[in-house]
Amino acid sequence: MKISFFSPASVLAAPVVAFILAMPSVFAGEVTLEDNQILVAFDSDSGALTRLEDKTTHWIIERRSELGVSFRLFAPLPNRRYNPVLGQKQRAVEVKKISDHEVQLRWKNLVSENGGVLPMTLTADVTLTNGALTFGATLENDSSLPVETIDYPYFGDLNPPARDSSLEARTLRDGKTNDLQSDEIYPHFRNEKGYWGDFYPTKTLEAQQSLFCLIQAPDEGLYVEMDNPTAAYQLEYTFEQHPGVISEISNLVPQEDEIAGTPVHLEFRTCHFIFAHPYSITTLVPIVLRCYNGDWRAGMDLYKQWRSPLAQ
Amino acid sequence: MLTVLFAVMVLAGASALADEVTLKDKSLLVAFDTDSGALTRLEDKSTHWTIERRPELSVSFRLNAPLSDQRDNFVLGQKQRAVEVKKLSDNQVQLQWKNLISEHGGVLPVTLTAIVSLTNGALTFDATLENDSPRMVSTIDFPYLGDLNPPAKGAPMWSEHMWYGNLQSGDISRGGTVESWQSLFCLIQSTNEGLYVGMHNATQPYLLDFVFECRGLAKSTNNPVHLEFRTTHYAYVHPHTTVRLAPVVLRCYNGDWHAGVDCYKEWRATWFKPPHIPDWIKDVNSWQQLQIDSPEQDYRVPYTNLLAYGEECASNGVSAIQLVGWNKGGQDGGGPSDDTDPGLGTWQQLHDAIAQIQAKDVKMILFAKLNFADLTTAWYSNELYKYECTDENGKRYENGGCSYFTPTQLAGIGVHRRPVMDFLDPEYCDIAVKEFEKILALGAEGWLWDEVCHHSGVLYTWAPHHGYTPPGYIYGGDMPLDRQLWAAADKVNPNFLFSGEGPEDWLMQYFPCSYFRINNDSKPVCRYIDPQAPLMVAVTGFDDREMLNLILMDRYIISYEPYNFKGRLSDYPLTLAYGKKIDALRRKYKAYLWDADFRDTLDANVTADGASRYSVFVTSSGKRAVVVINQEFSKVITATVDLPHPGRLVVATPEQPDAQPTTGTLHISARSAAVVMEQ
Repeated sequence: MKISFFSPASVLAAPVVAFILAMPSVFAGEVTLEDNQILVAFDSDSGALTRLEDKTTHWIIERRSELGVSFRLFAPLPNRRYNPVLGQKQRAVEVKKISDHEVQLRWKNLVSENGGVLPMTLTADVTLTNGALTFGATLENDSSLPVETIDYPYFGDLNPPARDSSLEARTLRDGKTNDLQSDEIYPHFRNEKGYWGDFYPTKTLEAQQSLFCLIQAPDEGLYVEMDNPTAAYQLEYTFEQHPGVISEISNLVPQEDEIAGTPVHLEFRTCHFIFAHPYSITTLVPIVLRCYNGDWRAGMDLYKQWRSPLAQ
Repeated sequence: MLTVLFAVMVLAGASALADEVTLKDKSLLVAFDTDSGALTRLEDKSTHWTIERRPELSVSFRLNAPLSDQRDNFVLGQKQRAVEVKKLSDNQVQLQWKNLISEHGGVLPVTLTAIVSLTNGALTFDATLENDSPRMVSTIDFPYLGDLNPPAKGAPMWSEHMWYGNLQSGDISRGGTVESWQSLFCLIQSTNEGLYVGMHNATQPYLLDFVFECRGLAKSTNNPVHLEFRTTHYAYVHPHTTVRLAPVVLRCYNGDWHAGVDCYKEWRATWFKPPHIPDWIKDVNSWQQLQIDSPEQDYRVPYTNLLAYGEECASNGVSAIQLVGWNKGGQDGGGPSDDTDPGLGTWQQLHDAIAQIQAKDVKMILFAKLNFADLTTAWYSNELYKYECTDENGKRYENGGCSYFTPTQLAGIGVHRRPVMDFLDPEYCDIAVKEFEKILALGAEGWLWDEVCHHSGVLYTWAPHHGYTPPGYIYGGDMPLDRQLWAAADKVNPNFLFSGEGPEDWLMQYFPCSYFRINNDSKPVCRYIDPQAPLMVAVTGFDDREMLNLILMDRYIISYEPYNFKGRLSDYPLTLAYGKKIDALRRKYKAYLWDADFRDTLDANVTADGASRYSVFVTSSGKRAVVVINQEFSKVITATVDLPHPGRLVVATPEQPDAQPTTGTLHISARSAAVVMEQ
C-alpha cells in the first residue's frame, strides 16, 4: 500500500498524527522491549529491528517494519571480494525474550551472496535499561573466510519526528568536545562518498573522532554511543538515503514514502571494522542508544554522564 | 568619496615618470623603469583602471636557480639592473638583464631578454632565457605586477579560469594560483571590467602558473599591503641551454567573464582544429551511463545481460550507453588493461552484446583510462613499474585510488592505489595504444577516457631512461599520445567517437565530446566557446527536473545515471519522462535550441520573482530564443523576457510544446522551463 504523508505546509501537525496512526501497538510475530521511555521491536522470524519509538515524545524512529533489517556483514572470498551476507536473506534461529529488559537474537549458517552458506553464528543481546538500549553482539566465525565488517545494529527506516522536521548528524571533530560538527541528513541529504562507488547518497562519520553521534531533530534527538573508548577497531556511523534525492541540484529528499514506486527511506547503521580471522570469535563493541529531549546540549549531557567515570 | 579616491589614484599614475619607457595605444599604457626594467605602471586607458599603480612596488622578474645544497636560490629582479630597456618601435620595448645576482649562489651567467609588444590593446610578453651557468633554472616569474589594483579602492576582484567544463571563480584577496594545465587563461575580473591573461602557447610546453600573492604589512610605510600578480614559467632550463618562454598576453576588457573569454576565443580561433565527429552526436541525443563491475569484483551485470539495457535505451530513444567497468578489474581496477574480465563473461560475449545493441541503433561507448596502473596487479609488478612517473628523489607518484561499495573500500581500506604512467615515454605510449586497440577490436562506436583531464597531481616526472632528459612535463605528453590513438582509430572506424571526462580546452581537439557535472551556479564556458560541441552532463536525481532544466538551458546532452550510473532507465521514470520531453522540445525547435549560437546571458535580460536562470540562443537567420528555467521547488514564478527590438514572440514548454503567442511575460511552473522564441 502506498502511503503518502505529504501535507500542505499549513497543516503542520498532520504528519505527526499520521505517523502515530500508522503504527499499530504490537505486531504479530514481534518481540518487543519497552520501558517508559523506549519501545523497540524485532521480527521473530528475521530478527530485524522493525520498530523503535521514543514513547515520551511519540517519535517513531524506525517506522516501516517491511524495511527493517537485522544486520549485514562482508566475508570476502579468495577470488571475489564482493561477498556480503544480507540480513534480509537470513532467518534468525533465535529471537528470544530473556527477561523483561533483554532479548537475545541469533543467526547461524549464514547465506552469503556469492560464497554459499557460511558456518558463522552471530549472537546479539539487546537490553533496555532506564531508556538505554544496548546492542551487544558476538560473531563466531567457523568458516575459512575472514569477516571484514559487520553492520549492527541496522535501522532500515530511520525517520525524523515529522515530515516537516529536520535531522542532522552531530559528531565531534577530531574528538574535540568544543567542536561539534553538523551534517544535515533531512530534508536535504548530500552524498559525501564518491558517486562512482555508491548506489545511494551516503555519509559516514567515524567513532574514532567521536565516541557518540547525535541524530538531532530540532527539539529532540537520538544519542548513539560506541560504548568502549578503548576499542581496538574502527567503527563508523553510516547514513544512506534510498533511493536517492529528488535532484542533485537541491539534494532534497523525497517527501513521500515512495517515489515512482520505490520506497524512500533513510538507513542508519553502525559498521564495525572487525577483520575477524577465520575460525575466530569476536565480541563487538556495544552500541548504546538513548533518546533525549532538547538540542545538542541534551545529547552531550548523555555523553558527559557516560564519560565522567572514565575521567576519574 | 570613491570618486575622490579614484581621481587620486589616476593622478598618482597619470603623468610619465622620469626614467620610464612607455608603450601606449588607445586601450593600454604600460611603463618600464629604465634602470631596473621593472613594470612600473599599467593602465586601461578606456576605463582609467590603473592596474599597476605604485612604481616603488614594481618588480621586473624573478627566477630560481637551485643550488646543489640549497634549493631556494632566487634571483630577485629588485636586485638587478637592466642592461637594456630600449624602445624598438612605437609598439615594442626590449628589456635585458645579464649576469644575474642570486641570493645564495653569487653571480650567474644567465641572460633574460624580453620583448614587450603592444598591438591593438594586446600586450605581449615574449622572453628568452640563456642559461650559461652550470645551474638548472627551474622557474621564471615574468611578467610580474608588483602592485595589482582593483579598478577602484574596495572594488571586488577575483579570478576566473576554465576547469572541468565550467568556469571556476577564485578568491584572490589573500592570494591564489591558477594553473595552465587546467586553463590557458586567467581572468582577473572585477564588477564591470577585467584583465585577460593568457599563456599563448597551446602545445603544453611546460606548466605556467598565474599567481596572486598578498604581501606587506597593514601598518608599514615601507612595505604596505599589496597584491602581487605574476606568471610563473616552470621552464626547467638546463645548464648551458636557451629556452624561449611561452608568450604571455594581457588584454583589458569591459564587461563580465564573457568579454574576457571573448579575448580567449579570438586567439583560440588561430590554433584550434576541430576534429571530425560522427553525425549521430551532432543531432539531439541522450546517453545512459552504466557501471557493471568494480575492483570489489561485484560483477553485477554479465556481458550476456547487457542487451536488456540496450533494448531499454532503444525503446526510450536513448542513443548511447557509456559502459563502465567492463574491462579487467572493473572501474578503477586492473588499469590500464582493456582486456575483458572473465568474471563478467568472455570477449566474444561482450563483442556480441556490443554488436546486438548497436544493431538497435544504440551506440556503445566503452569507458577506459590509460593514465594509471593498478598497483595490485602482477602486470604492474612485472612491467608497468618501468613506465611510472617519479619525483626528484626517484620515488613513485601515486594516486590514492577510488573506493567502491564495501564498507572497507568506502573507508579507504584496500583501495587499489594507482601509480601515474608517464605519457612522455614512447614505450608506455605504445602499450597504451595497444590497450586502446582492444576497444576498437570489440567493435564499439566510441570510447570515453575517464579522468583524461589530469594526471593526479603529477606535473613533472624525473623518471630516468624514459626517452628524454628529465624533468618532463607530463601534460606535454597528452596530445602526442592522443594523435597516436586517433591514428589507430582511423584505421578501423573513421567515425569512432572520442569522448572524455572534462578534457581541457586544447584536448577538445582530440576529445570533442566532453562529459562532466554541473551545479546550479556553473558557468557554461565550454558551451559559450563552442555552441555546437557535444557536451554531456550527468543526471542522477529521481525526479531531477532542476538538472534537466539546466541541461536544456545550456544545450547539454543528457546522461541518464540512475543509482549513480548503476541502475536502469526504468529505475527513475520521472526523470526519464521529463528528459524525453526536453529532448522532444529540442527536436521540435532544433533551429532555436540545438543548431543556434549560444549567447548565455548576453543579448537579453530576464527578470523574475523567484530563483530563475536563463540563456539566449541566436539562430542562423538571426532569430532569438530565450530559455528561462524556474528552479523554485514549489513556487510559480513570473518572468519577463526583455529582448531588444523583439519580433513576434511565442512560448513553448516541455509540457506544452506547441508554441503560443506571448508578450514576453511568463508564468512558469515550479521546476519547469519555458522557451520564448522570436518568429
